Amino acid sequence: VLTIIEPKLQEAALVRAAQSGDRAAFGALYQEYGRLIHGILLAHVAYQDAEDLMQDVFMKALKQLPALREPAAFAGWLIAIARRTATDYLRTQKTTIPLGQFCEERRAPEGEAFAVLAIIQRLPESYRETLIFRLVEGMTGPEIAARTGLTPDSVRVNLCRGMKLLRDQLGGPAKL
Amino acid sequence: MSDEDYLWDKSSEPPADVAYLEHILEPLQWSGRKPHLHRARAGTWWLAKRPWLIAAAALVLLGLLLQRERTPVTSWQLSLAGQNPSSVRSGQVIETGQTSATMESESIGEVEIDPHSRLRLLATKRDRHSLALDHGTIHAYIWAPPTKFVVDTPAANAVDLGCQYTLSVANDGKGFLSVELGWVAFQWKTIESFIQPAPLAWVTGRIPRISWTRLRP
Repeated sequence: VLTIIEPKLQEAALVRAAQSGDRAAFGALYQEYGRLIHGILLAHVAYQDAEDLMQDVFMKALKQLPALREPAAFAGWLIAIARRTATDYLRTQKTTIPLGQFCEERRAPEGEAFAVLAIIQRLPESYRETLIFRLVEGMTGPEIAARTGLTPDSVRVNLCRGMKLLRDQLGGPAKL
Repeated sequence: MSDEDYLWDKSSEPPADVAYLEHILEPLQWSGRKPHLHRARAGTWWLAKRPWLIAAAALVLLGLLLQRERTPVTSWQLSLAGQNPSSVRSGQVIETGQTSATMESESIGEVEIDPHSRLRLLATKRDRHSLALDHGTIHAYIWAPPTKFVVDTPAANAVDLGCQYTLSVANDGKGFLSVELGWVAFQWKTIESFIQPAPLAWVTGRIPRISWTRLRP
């Protein structure tokens, strides 16, 4: 189902620059892929852990980036690191890090948000990641397709089927 | 099919349940906080395999401690081209001459100092780490919490708000700031300007007049 899309030239240039030690380029890639990687982590681990694991993912990426031979593979490569990091984390059963201070401008998540997140996390992987990209990270379908390398059709299907499953789990739209 | 359209690209009216889900889940969104990425250091693994090297390093460290002067040692480590890193003390002045230098602190960040720069280390306290750039160029990559890292310039103080930036000061006091990531606040007394990522020229007149000229969008 996965289709690797042709990366934007600018992004390939950023990857090459980051490979040669340009930290500003790496920072730009971090900003570009932050939501996506956070969404992937959130699909697997507790919210309190996702933000901290972000650092692990990008730290690994920074160290391993020089070994990446094809800049076009950056997105898939980074996604794989994120999934592996989440899996390893769950395997080691680290102690949950307490919820830190919240950014001043942001609302603190409420219990209902965690309950819905827990339901999404029990959905099949392809649905749960896509739904989190869309409902939590605020990405649109075309953005998800561009970032993940999934075809637009696959993303659309995942969104529709995932949403249907979520509604079923929540007891239907009327219950919300 | 507006339900699907909204899910796909938000191009139609949101179904009530989807809008509600977006509302309650939005606080879980990525905060955009920058990572504390320490630069990868290649080749340090061999150190662990050579205990005598560690012992020698410990002896050197002990020697440095014994030679400690009255001025407090900061957490900054200064590396000049081809030399081992050494600790830097408050009040010390770094003049790079023909070569560049790098200062790194595990708790603050990394500052690259271009050739022909003069940088002074001001007081380093737990809640504030200050440098003064008299002239020259520094490239700062800061992972300390926002507002902890400050660079004094002839015009104002550049306060890091979690970012990466290049700061230059010419001999005539004119300067240049290019924020690459995060924000920098320029402060002088009660006046403060927030600079977001964009190359900007900064022209210093008589304090407190600071004018900004955008070089390019």
